[in-house]
Amino acid sequence: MKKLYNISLLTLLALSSLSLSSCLHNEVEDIFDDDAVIRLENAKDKYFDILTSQGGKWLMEYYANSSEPGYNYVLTFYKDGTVEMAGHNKWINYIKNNTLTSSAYGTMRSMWEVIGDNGLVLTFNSYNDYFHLFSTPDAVPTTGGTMTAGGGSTAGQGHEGDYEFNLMKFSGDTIYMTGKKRDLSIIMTRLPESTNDETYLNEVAAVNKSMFTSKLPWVYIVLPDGNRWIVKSAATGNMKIYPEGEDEVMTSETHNFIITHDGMAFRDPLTIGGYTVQRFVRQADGTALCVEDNQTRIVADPLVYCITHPMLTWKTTFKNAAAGGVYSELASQITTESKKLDGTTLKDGLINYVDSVNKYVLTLNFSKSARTFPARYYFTLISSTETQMKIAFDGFDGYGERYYNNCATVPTLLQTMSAATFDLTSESLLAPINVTMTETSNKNNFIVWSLQ
Amino acid sequence: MKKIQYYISALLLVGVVAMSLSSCSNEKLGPSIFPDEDEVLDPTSTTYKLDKYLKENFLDKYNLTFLYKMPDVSANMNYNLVPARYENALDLAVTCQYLWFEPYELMGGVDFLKAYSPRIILLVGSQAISSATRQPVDGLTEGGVKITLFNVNKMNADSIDLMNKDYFHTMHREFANILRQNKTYPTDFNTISVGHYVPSEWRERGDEISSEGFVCPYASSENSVDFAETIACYIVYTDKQWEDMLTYAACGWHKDKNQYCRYYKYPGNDLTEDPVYIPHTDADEKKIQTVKDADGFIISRYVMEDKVRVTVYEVEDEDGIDGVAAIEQKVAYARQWFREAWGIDLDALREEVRKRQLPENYNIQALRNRVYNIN
Repeated sequence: MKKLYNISLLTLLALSSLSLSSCLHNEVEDIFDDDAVIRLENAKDKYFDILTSQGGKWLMEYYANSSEPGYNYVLTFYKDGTVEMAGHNKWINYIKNNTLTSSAYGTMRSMWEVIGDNGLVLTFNSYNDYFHLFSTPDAVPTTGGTMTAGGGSTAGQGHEGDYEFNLMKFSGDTIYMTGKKRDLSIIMTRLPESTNDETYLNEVAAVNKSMFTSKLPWVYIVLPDGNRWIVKSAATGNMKIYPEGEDEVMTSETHNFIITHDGMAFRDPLTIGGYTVQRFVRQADGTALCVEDNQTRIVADPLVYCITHPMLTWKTTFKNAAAGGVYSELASQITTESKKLDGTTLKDGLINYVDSVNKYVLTLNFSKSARTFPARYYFTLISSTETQMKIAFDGFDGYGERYYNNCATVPTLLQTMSAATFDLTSESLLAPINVTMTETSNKNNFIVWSLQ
Repeated sequence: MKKIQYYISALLLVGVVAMSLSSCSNEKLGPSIFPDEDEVLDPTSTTYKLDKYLKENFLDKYNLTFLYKMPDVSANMNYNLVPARYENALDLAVTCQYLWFEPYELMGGVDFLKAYSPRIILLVGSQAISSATRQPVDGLTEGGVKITLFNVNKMNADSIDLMNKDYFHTMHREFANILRQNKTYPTDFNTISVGHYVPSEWRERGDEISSEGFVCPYASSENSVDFAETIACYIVYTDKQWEDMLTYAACGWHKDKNQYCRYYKYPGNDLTEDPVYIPHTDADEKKIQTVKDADGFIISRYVMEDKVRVTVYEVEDEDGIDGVAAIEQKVAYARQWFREAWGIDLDALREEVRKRQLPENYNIQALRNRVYNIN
């Protein structure tokens, strides 16, 4: 009987411990207010409200991969599950006009949804011609691939862009996301309800066209401590950077970025020379100033360096707005004289550097029918500051002698230019594709040189 | 003393049991954490009509989820894929019902489809191209419960031929795959073409594969595919396609410079010269003319070259396989299996599908109205 009593007691103890432990899980669950599924549903509702409120208009800075530039999309989210997706890029132009030489605006409505899928995911889950072009496995047009076996290098891959995004956080009217497959950072920033999609994107396209130029071999990131990093290929949207004075091959890095409405931004924060930068705002002079430290700038060489750069060629037509005052008159007079001389007209003028004689040359091109007669006049740089220069002519070559001796205004032009000091100006100090040489003493006398 | 111990034990037991039962009494059952199916459809949603159509005609009826808003987690993440265009998804949904589910329901009953239809149909806008092989995949069946249809964005619902080629051929094949995974087909089927299956080289084959007893190149990849393809082709091929296939099955073929040829000729009709073979895929084959007797039988063939009739000869069938007999035998096995395993008349099913495909019966706009007219 005692044995039975002990067994009973042990059984009771076991049951007691089970009773006490049966509610332990509640203590853990109480950390959260609701069940996981309810919390997920609430979070989905929250993002639905965020995306559709205040007109539901957002700017998405989209990256398909790490080697292409970012693309701007203006998205308008509607409560009926549709989204208007507007973009302005060359791939849209390819769809619309079968050409990649420029960009085009395109907009189309499709579906969107916030789903719970290992967390919150924003998905654009019906096909949109102008957005899912980055996710389709069709070969990227530039590679000329096809969808058949052994096709182009990107057949089956395409741009490899995401169309589903993990919603990471919402802060200060910005939604931070990552692409679900490729894990690239994508952000969306709220735009005013009154934003006109096409106007906005046209304005960004205008910035894109003028921010950088492929004609300039390099520009610089100038850090707060004065150190410079050379920037190459910025016009491609995927810039190569390396510290000035260092070996390009050994030290260069490539970073893609996006042209924004007011400047540019790297895909992720970038630390160079001890400074972390990401977003740059375009200034009135065309240079770009870093938002994060308000000191780092992206600039080109001073204009005098640009116009006398051994690798660059500059051209003027002397006509219309390309020359003013005495230079317009002299060019016109030269044509009158050359017509009398040999039936030619002054077509244009070029400035470049000639290695073989170690001098700069102004080439006046005279043309008749399809033939051109280049008259070369050598000059040297007498003095210069970053934005001012004085030159002196000291010889000729090619057809230079013929026109110098037979068109009286040619020597006059060279003497006038030699006598003057020129101020150099440009609309953009980052992409100086047009530089105006204006006489310091008379602002009416100028020549506009275009970078070739 | 023993009695006291007994009472104490009994009291303790009652107490513990009471505690056990009451220990969770403060928990109240809240609302279900899963959304109510009836509340899932949002009447304000742009896709409400299609969603309701899919719910009523696929989910409620066959327990089948028709996924057209593609969550890429549902697809193979190794492929780069895009969602289907909404309009195309709608077209495919209504044609699926009209050309696939309704004929099967007529022949096998709703319970048959409820039990054996796939549980999920997933639409994908793009092709799935393997980055390794660069080969496209036109449809996938996973575990007998899910069928994935690719390239929906290139769909043209106005052309029944293209719909058959690009989608319904795949659907009937994949459904046949599901059915054979549930009830084994006669193993004798596998003996018909044993030794002639080419698991990887089938992609390089064309019409000539019929002479080896296969309805299409893919059928020659393995015996289970052969069975499913035989059923799919039998159902969706037009009379002309089926007749052409049997014609090719009856031909002799010669491989010349990696091209298959049914005919050859001698330059200038000079039989001492080497024969020149005419590739099947060349336009030259279409230029061959025939001379028939009074009963319509072909006596000879020729092509005109420099205003001269150059006689064309048929390649002798030397592969030792009666392609036509093999194909007809395979169809017979499929017919028998459908009848015995499923109680379905394959020929009646084929006729029902064909009847629905006739121009006077197939009206895509009317089918779209099945969705548009939903309130």
